[in-house]
Amino acid sequence: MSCEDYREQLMAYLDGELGETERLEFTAHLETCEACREELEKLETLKEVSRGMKLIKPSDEVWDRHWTCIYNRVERGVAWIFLSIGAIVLGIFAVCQLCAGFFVDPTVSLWIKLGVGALVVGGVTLFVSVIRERISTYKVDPYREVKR
Amino acid sequence: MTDQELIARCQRGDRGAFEPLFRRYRDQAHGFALGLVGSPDEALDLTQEAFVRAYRALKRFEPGAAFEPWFFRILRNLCLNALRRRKTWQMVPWEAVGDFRAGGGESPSAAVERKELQEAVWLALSELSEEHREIIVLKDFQDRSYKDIAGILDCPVGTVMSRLYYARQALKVKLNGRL
Repeated sequence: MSCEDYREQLMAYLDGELGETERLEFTAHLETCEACREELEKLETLKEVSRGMKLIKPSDEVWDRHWTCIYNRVERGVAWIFLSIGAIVLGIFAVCQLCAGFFVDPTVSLWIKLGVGALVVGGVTLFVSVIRERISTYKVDPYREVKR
Repeated sequence: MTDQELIARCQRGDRGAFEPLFRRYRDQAHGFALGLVGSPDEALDLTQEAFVRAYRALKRFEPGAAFEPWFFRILRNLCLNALRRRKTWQMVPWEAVGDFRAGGGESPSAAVERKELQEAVWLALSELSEEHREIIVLKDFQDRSYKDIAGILDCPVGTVMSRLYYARQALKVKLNGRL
């Protein structure tokens, strides 16, 4: 095997992820290969430096504020769902009431009733179709958690 | 309580059960986001957004599946999208994001040398591709196992090893003989 073939083992050796047999095999290679020994030495220094780099952590107060925001947003999400359901139900009820009054009115001509009826049926069909399409797309969308 | 037990409670509508999950993963999530986007404030916002999205998606979460890689995948996607939306980008200086409390017992000159090298690594990290930066953050900053990283990046362990090799080589080149 050439050094090229050992480069993944080099990473696993450096990170302590090699099994016993592979580790022994790689150690034997290291003993005979100066290039790999030098490479390992440089990578060990790099790893030591980057492992020592600790990033600041937000304080508990900051996290508490963020938790309150998260909780509120989650709670408001539920409230928005109920609000939307309520608005849709009331909207449907209002349209039904208006249509019922309109369609039983004897002073309105049959042609106008048929025209309005067709408009309502077409509008409702389109609305349901769009909603159905959005739901089916959402179910199979692997990026639904990603903000566009 | 395990992640699975907490998730089951969340799925039954107990919003309070999400708080222990938030406490368990918030610092690591923030560290990962900070390493990727380079700004502490933006990392906080992205972490918050990831937790909100994770909670909303919990209803579809498969029982018995691991929460951590799934959650970190949400966060990673958010970070990558945030980076792609930017027109110009620069990481916040190491002075502003490094935790310098560690390293007790070393001489002042050694501490200065260590800090300078860390600054160089942080700057070099900002010049790497997102793919290379994220794997360095996950492995070297967060000390995760290859298996954990493979779960988060949704790829085989072999890919983690090879990506890590190229990422470290790229970082070494950017450091230009400082090692």
